[in-house]
Amino acid sequence: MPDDIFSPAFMRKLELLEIVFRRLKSGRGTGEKSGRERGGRIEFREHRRYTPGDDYRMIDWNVYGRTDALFVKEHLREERRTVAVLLDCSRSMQFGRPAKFTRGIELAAAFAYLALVGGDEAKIVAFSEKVFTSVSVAGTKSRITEIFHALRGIKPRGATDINRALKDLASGTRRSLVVLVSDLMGEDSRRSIQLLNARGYEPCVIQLLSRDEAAPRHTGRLRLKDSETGEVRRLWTEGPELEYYRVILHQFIESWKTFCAAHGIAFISALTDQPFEELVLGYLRRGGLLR
Amino acid sequence: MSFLWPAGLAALAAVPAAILIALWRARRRDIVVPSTLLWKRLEERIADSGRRRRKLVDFALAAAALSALFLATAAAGPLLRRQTPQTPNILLIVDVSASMAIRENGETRLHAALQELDALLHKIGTANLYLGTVPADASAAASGIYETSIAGLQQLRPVFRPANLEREIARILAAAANIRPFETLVVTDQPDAVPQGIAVSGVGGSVQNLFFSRFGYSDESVLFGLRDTSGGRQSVLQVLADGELIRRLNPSGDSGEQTLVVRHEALRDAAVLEARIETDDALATDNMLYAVRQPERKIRVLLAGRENQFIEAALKLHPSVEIVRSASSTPDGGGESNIQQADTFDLAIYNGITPGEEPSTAAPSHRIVVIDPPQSFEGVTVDGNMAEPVISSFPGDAASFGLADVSVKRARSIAMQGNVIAASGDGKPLIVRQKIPPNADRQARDITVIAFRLGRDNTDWMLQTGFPVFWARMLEEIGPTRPQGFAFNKLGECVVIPAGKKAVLRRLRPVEEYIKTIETGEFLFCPELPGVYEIRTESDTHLMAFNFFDAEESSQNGRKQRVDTENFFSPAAVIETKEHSLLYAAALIGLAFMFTYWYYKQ
Repeated sequence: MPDDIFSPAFMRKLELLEIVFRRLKSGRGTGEKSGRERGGRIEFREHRRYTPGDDYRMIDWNVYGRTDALFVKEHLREERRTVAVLLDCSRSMQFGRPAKFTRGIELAAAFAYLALVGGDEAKIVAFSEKVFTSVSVAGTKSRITEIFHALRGIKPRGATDINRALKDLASGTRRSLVVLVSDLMGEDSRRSIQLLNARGYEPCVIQLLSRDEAAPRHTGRLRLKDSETGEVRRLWTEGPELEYYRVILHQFIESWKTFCAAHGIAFISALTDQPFEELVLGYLRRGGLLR
Repeated sequence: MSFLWPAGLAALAAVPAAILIALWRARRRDIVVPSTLLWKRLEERIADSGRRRRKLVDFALAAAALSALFLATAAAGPLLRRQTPQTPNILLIVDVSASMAIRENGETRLHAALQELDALLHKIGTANLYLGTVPADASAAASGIYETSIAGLQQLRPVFRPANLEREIARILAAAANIRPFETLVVTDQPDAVPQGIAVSGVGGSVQNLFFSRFGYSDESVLFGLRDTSGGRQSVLQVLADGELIRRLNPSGDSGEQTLVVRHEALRDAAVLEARIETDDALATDNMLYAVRQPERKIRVLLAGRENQFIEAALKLHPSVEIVRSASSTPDGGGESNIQQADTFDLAIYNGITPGEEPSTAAPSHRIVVIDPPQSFEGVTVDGNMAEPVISSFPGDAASFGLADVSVKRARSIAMQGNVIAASGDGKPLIVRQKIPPNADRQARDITVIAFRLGRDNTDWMLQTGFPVFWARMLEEIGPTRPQGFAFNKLGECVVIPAGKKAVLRRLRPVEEYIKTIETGEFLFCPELPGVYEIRTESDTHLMAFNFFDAEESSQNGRKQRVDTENFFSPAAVIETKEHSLLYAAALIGLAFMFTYWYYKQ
C-alpha cells in the first residue's frame, strides 16, 4: 500500500464510509444474477412456496427434507455500479498550496477506494483539453494499488475542456456516479452536466480552489497572465478592487450551487488548504456525497 | 534667500526618493494566475475607477514630492528678505468746484476723477490719505487738511462756490508743509492751476454746456445772452416773474456763438425774475438765472417849519411817501423837535425856515428842500420880493418839473450857487439846486431852494392842479435813487451788508432756506450757491440775486493729464526678514493628503 497518497490509518477510516448513490440503486434477482450486468453480490432474501414455472434449480431440497413441501429460495442480487472520477488535470490545477491537482488526486483515490470497498467499479478519468488517462478497476479493495499507480503517472497539462471530457465519458461508460473534480475555471460546462444528468448518470461536482484564488492579495499595477490560455489582463488593484473580486467569486460559486441544486446534483466547493481528512470525513459527508 | 540651518537642505534628497518610491510602487508586475476568468469580469466593472485611481496616484505623487520639498526647505529655516516700502503719506487736493459737476459721458467730472483716483490709490496700495478740498470744506481743520480714506473720498460732492484754485492749492500746500512731508496729488480739471512738480489727475474732454452769458433789462426789455459751447441744440427758455411763467421761447444758435434773446416785457411789478434753460446739458447749475427788482421802498419825508396842508396833501398822493411832521412844524415855527438822532429821511422839506432853525441837532437828511427861505439862510442871499413872477424858463433837463407859464403871487429874490431849475420871465432864479460835496465835517448835501411860497393862496390854478405831479417829479429828481431794472450779482462776488439793525438772511430761490441771523454790524455776505437771497429787518426787506456765470471755464478745460503712477512714489524702503511658516503648512497639508489616500487605499 503506497504511503504517498493515503496513510493506512486514513484508509481504515475510509472503510467506515460508503458512497451515497442517489439514483443508481442495486438490482433485484431471484437466486441468480439477473440483468445484463456482470458482477455484484447475491444475498439470500426469503423462501416461498414453489409455483409451477419456477426454476426447479432454486428448490431448497433441505427444506423439502424437513417439511415435505417445496420451497424455492429467493435471492437479492446487488448490481455492480461504477464510480467515475473525472479529474481536471489542466495547468490551472497546479496552483495552490497544496496544489489543486494534488488535492484532486487524493479525492480521486479516496472515491476509488470507497468504490472498491463497496464492491463497485472505480474509474479514474484524467482530462485537460481531452481525456488522456482512463483507468477502471473492479474487484477487491486490494486492487486500489492499480489506481494509485495510474494516478502517480498523471501530470497537469493543457487547458480545461470539461465539456469534451463529459462527452467522452458518456460515450464510453455506462450509467454511473460521475464525480467531477475541477476548479471550474474554464468554459461553462453546466449545459453538459445537465445533459449527463438527464441521461441517467448521477453527476456530482467538487470545486477545488486555492487560497490565492479565493482571496488574492496582489495589489498595484498588474499584468495577469492566464496559465492555460496565456491571455493577459492589465489591472490596477487595491483593497476595494480585491474586495470586489471576492464578491465576483462568491457570485460565481453561488451560480454553480443554484444550478446544481436545481438539478439534484451535489455540489461542494472547497479550498485546497483545508486538511484532507476534514475535507473527506467532514465536508463530503455534510455535502451528502459520503455517509 | 538665506537659511537658518542650511544642513536641512540635505533633506531635499527625500524629493527624488519620494518620486522613486512612488514610481516603484506604481510599476506593473507580471503575475500568472490559474485563470483570468474572474479577473476579466472584474476588469469590466472597474474600468472607470482605474482611471480615477491613476489620476489620484499621480496627484499623490505630486503631493508627496511637494511635501518633501516643502518639508526639506522648511527644515532649513528659510529667511526671506524683501524690500518693503514705507506707508506713504498722500495729500489729496481735490477740486470740488462747480466745473467738476459738469457731466461728460453721463457722469460728472468729479465722479470720473474720483474713479480714476480710486484706481490709482488701489494700485498704490496701503497709504495714509489726507484730503484738502478746493473750495475748502467748511468742516475742515484750520489747515484745510484732514485724514480720510478711499471710501471717504466717494462722499465728496461739488460745491457751487467759486474759488481761486491756484491760490487755494498753494494755501493747502503751505499748510501741509508744516505738518509732514507728503506725496501730493491734485485732482482737478484745470491743470494749469497746479504748481509745477505736482502730479495732476485731470479730467476733461468735450465739454457740452449751455449757459447764460449775459442778462440785462432796460426800456422794459429783457435781454438774455446764451452761449452753447458744444454745438447748436434745441433748448427751451422759460421766463418766470414771481414764479409765474410769462414767456416760453425756443432759442437756438451756433456752436460757441452767443445767442441774444431780447423780449419786450413790462415787468415793473415783478420782484423776482427767474429764467431757465431746459436742455440736455452738462452743468445744470448755470441753466438758471435770477434777477430781482427791489420792492418799492417808502420815501420818508420830513416836513419842518410852517405847517402847510397844501404840500402835505400833495405829497400824500404819492404812494411811496411817508411823511413825518416835525413837532416844530407849527404854524409859526419854533418849539422843540421830536426828531431823534437815529432817524433818517430821504428828503427834508423846510417850509419858511432853514435847516439851522430846526431844533434837532441831527442833520435829518442830506437831501433838502427849502421853501420860501428866510433871510438868514447860510450860503443863500435873499434879497427882497418879486411880485407875481411867471415861471417861464427851464434850463437844462429841468423841464420835467412841468412848470411852464405858471405864475405865483409872490417870490423872494435869491442868489445862490447851483443849477437854476426854474426862473422868472426876467431871468431871476425861482428854483435853484445846489449839490455840496462832502468835507471833513459833513456829508454831501443836495439843497434845492424854492423861492416862492407853495400854498393855495399863492399859486395859480395850474400849479394847484398839477401840484402832485410837481412833487412826484420833484421826488424823482432829488429824492433817493430807486432801483432801475433788475439787479443781480455774479456768484462769487461778495456784498457788504452795512451795519444796521438786526436782520435775517434767507435764501428764497430755488429753495427756501434759512441762512443766518445777522447781528448789528457790517457783514460780508458771500453766497456759495446761486439763487435769490433776502435780507429782512423789522422795517425793510432787501432782495439779492446771485448767478453762476463761471461756466465759461467749461470750454477751456479739455486737456487731460494722467499720473505717472510707476514713478510717482520714491519712498524709502526697509529690509524685512521673515521666516516662512507657510512652507510648514504646505508640507503638512501634503502629508495629510498622502495619509488620507493611503488610509482609503487599504
